[in-house]
Amino acid sequence: MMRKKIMVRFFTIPEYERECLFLQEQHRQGWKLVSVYFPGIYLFEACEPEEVVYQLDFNEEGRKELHSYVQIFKDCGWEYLFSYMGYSYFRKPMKAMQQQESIFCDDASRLDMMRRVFKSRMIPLVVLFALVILPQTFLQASQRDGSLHSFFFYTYVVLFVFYLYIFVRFFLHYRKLSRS
Amino acid sequence: TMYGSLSKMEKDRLIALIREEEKRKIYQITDLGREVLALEKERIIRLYRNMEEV
Repeated sequence: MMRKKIMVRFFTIPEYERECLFLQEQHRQGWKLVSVYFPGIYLFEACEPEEVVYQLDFNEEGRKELHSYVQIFKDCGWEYLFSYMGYSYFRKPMKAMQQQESIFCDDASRLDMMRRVFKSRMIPLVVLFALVILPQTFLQASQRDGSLHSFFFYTYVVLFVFYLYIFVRFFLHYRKLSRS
Repeated sequence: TMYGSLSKMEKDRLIALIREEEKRKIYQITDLGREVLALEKERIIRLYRNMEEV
C-alpha cells in the first residue's frame, strides 16, 4: 500500500496550464496523481520521481465516445487517468518524448478548447451572475440596516468581485491565445 | 488534439469513417479531402518558392 497525500489547490478555468505544471512538479518529487475531488482536492500516491508531462482536455463530445477518444491518446503514448468535471486528465513520461510535447498541436486548438469550456461553464456562470448575483448585490446594498443584511451584502460583494476576476482572467487568456 | 482534429476533419468531410476496429476508428480521405490536400500542397510549395527567392 503506497503512501498517499492530499493537497488543496484552486485553479480557475484559464489556469489549466498552471495546473499541469503543478502536477508535473509533484510527479518530479515522487507523487503521482490518483484522483481529483471537488472543489480542489488532489489525491497523490508515492512513486518514483520522474519527469512526467500532464495535460488536460475539455471535450464533452469525446467523453461521449470515451473508448475511441481515449484510444487516440493512448496510441500517441498518453496515459488516460480519469475524467473530472468534464476535463480528461492525461500524462506521458518525458523520456517517451523527443521534446516537450502537448496534446494540443497549435494555439487554434487550445482556443477551441477554451471556447468549449466557455460554452458549458462560463455561460451558466454569467447567467447566474446577471440574474442573481448582480441584482442581489444591489438589493442588499439598499437594505443595509441590520448586521444580517450586512453579512449577505458583503458575501455578495465578494462573489461579485470573484466572478469579475474569473471573467477577466478568462478573457485575457482567451485574447492572448487569439492574438498569437 | 488528435481527436479534435480528426473530429473536425470528419465534420468538414475531408475524411470519412470506414470502419471501427476494436476501439479504434479507421478513417479514409475523401475526394474533397484530396482536393483540399492538393490545394494546401500547392500553397506550401508557393510559400517555399517565395522564401527561396528571398
